[in-house]
Amino acid sequence: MTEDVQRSYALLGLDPGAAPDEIKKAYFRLVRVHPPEKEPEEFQEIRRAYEMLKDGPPVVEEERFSAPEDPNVLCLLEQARRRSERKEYRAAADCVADALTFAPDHPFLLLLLARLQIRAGNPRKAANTAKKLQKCAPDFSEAYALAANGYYASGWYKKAFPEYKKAYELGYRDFDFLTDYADAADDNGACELAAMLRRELLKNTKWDQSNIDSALYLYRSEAEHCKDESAVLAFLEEYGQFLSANRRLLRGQSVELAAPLMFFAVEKPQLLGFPSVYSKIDTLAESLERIVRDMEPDFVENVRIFMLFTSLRMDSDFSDSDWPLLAQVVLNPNEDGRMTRYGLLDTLLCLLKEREQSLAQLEAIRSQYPFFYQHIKEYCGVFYRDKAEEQFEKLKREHARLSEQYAGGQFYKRYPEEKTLPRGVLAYSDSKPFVRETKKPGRNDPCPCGSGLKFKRCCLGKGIYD
Amino acid sequence: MSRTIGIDLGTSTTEAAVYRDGKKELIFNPDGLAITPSAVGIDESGNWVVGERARAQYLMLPESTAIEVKRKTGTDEAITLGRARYTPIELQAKLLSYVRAYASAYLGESVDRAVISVPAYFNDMQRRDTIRAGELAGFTVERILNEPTAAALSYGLDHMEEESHVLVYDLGGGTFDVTLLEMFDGVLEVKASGGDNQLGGKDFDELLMEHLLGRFQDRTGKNLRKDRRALARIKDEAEKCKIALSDSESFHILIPAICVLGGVPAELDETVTRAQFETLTKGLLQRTHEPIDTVLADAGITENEIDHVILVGGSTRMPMVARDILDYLGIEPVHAVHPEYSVAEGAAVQAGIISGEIDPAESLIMTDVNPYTLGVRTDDDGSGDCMNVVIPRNVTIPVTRTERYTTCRDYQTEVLVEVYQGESRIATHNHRLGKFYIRSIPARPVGAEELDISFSYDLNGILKVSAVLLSTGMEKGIEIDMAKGGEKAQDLSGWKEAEGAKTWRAVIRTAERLLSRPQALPEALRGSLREATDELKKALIHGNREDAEAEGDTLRELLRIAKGGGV
Ligand SMILES: Nc1ncnc2c1ncn2[C@@H]1O[C@H](COP(=O)(O)OP(=O)(O)OP(=O)(O)O)[C@@H](O)[C@H]1O
Ligand SMILES: [Mg+2]
Repeated sequence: MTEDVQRSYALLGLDPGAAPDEIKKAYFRLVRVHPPEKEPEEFQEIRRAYEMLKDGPPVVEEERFSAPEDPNVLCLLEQARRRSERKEYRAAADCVADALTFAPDHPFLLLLLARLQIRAGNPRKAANTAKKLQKCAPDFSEAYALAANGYYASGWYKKAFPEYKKAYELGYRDFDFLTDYADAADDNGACELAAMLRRELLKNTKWDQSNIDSALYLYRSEAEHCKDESAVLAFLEEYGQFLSANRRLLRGQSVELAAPLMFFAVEKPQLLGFPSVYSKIDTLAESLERIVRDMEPDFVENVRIFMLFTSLRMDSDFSDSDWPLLAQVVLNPNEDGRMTRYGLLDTLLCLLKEREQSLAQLEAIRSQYPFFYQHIKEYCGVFYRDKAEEQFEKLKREHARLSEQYAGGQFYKRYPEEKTLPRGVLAYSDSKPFVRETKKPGRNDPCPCGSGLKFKRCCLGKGIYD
Repeated sequence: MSRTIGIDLGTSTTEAAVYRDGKKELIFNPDGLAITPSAVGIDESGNWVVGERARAQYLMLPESTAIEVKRKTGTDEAITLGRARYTPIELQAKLLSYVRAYASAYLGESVDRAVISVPAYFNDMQRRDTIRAGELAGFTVERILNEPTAAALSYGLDHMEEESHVLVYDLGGGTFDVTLLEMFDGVLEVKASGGDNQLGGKDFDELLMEHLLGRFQDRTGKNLRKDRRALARIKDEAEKCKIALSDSESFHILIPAICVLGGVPAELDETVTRAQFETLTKGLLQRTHEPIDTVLADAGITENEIDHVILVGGSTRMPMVARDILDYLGIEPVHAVHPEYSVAEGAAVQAGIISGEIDPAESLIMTDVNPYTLGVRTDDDGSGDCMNVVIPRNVTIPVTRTERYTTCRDYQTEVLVEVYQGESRIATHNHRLGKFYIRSIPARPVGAEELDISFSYDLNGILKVSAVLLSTGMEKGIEIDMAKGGEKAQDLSGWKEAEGAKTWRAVIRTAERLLSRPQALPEALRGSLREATDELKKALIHGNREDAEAEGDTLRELLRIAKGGGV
């Protein structure tokens, strides 16, 4: 028990190890004596003590070994304790190493030393120390866990793995240990084992503020084991449940929550090319929305858009079509609005050219990708309209005008004949006006330029049709 | 010492109370009522009208009457009454002066001290403006108290012997507050507070109004949304309808001569059922869930551990509220004894505690929490814009916390400590409260120099920040009075007399000339320039040569950019 904890008990007027409700009683009684209004300093002291103890007394580790009696050792141990309280682990480890010269291979000191070496960022040394400890206490599980930890952190994954195994067999079940063990198993090709360990962790752990980050990490790793559509579906189902069950704890996170989804999209996009998977993702996005909400308002939307792109591109019903491109244009608009419009028209026109097929696909989108459909439905009326032809012509004219400013586009490339068709008001291909071939129009005739105005109100007097 | 009263300065209604002769007592206004509408206006002869009269006037002269001003507290938004424009602070002050006058008359003695309650979720700016309004009205504001805490105090005083976890749910006219507290042995510990300061009865009125306007337009083709007088009447009716629907299943709205259609007066005639109203406004109640979740999580309490849910605020009279809570938390809530008065009563209890009217040894003791996260800006992820938390939100105050930091670059000799308040993990998305430099750090490799930064937050909302450089013991710090709005504003006019001012006079002049021409600069640059100028003046006044040197260089650089030197 550290001095701090002892002092806290004393401050609350309690014996060490007092029960939680005694601690609470003592605190509230003292608040009356030192109310924050009147004695803020004293109150803070009491509060600090209470916060240290209120979740039950700190777990005092049942120590398996006892310290050697040698006064030199005790003196060095005292120094080590003070150093480690100040978080100077390296110096503390040095003290313990010195102590070992007085009591060589003493298991108490070896254990302490290995722990400190891990903390001090000296994993190799820790592994060596742990190995020594194994010799004098071969059935002590932590000796193997420390060795495993040391090897793993030094990059010796091969050597770490058997140590993990042994510690596990001896019943070591620390949470961090198990997550590391799973990673080590993955690294050593033992995917089955890794998955089993993670399942066990995900099933048995009660999540709280301190370990919820690890939960996300575990799910992220789980995602890597999904091999086919049904595995992804099962994973998403479970992850969704986890998210809604723990939404309070998860508040404040965002990117981390979407990590499994992003993993699929980036590393295994082919798994997303199924409407069933996409629809699960859509449901999941709603859970995400509930957690993230106004913290990062665009975040979930962006994730959804990204997932949609991937799904559409991978879905064999759409991968060869222009729909993914349309999604790109509509959901990821260019800053230049006219440019976006051009892209939109270009894609729409291509789709309209194959109207029958596009219409069928649009119906599929409406039922399978409702999120996408919501975003494009305002542009899609033209597929259904009875006057589609007329609309089509109008769009073509607008497209022709914009195509003079913007390069690229598939429409003319695929259908070069479209490029030569007249477009009404002005021919798009060159800016020279029409030349009259027939007789000069009368003043009240419609103007030959096609503007729809009377000749006298339009081109008369410009010298064009003389 | 004169008497201290408690005031609940609400969005729709304002109440005042006092603690005397060992009990809570409501203060009645000249109309003999304890509830005063939060309305302020100017009548046709140019006189101020406040309270019930202003509310009545609102129907006839909406353009010279202000209601729901509290919603705008903390902003600079001007409110036009007749021809003149007022700030929210000025109008809140009018209301408070009125309270002060009637409280003095009621109590028969001059009243110039007050505890004013604000929504727990009011931010620093909103709290500061509330204090300013109080001061303008002639009050010494003894304490700004969180509304749900006040409600809890009032409840707690009547249930001293109880041991329980209580969730106070306050849905008022304009704000929603939720607070979880623990009562134990006569001590009331606030464990967490949260809320939404833009959600209240007003929003229910507005949705209903929108529905009525839509129906009217469908029926007659006339859009009344631009007609202020018609709007004022519909709003009034909408609220009446909402209130009536709390008791009956349907309500018939009839507003004669709402406008003229084709030369004849048209009426608005509409029946609204409770079911209709509830469907219309369902979304608003859903917005209460997130703050509830946050508060429970922060308090580390699950639904099952809550013993009572206490309803406070007029809007909790809508039956759908209790139903929603039962659905969401599985707990049947109960109404506070006086949902509309309990906040004012609680403020009076706090006033009694502060003035010594209530003996702390025998009465209720309360501990509160800080509603916002406080931290410093650091470079943990290389972006240089991390919010590194020193005091998390919902920690019991007063509190002192220390965190250790290191330098982030090799041979770094100065550190800028910037203090932020807010929940975003990106520091600059939060509200900056103040900053200071630590200089003359020995040049050593990255991470070799360590710095302890301490935050102390006291009951009055004053945050003291100090930093100690471990290797040399050098210490520096600032005091931020959050209740008074961030860094204490300082009079900087004395810089010209300061030593070394000559060196910088030209630079400061140039900067000030640029700043005085509104169109001369882009907004971002403007801010930096003003800040650098102020910092330089401050350094001069404090006679800090090193700081002046550094700030002067920054200022020069900014001027170069401003003059078109490019970035
Ligand atoms: N019976 C009722 N049914 C529904 N709503 C009601 C009822 N009585 C009052 N209200 C509503 O309650 C609101 C006023 O409540 P209250 O006086 O608690 O708010 P406030 O303190 O002024 O506002 P806030 O605390 O948000 O600043 C108004 O919107 C009013 O319409
Ligand atoms: Mg209120």
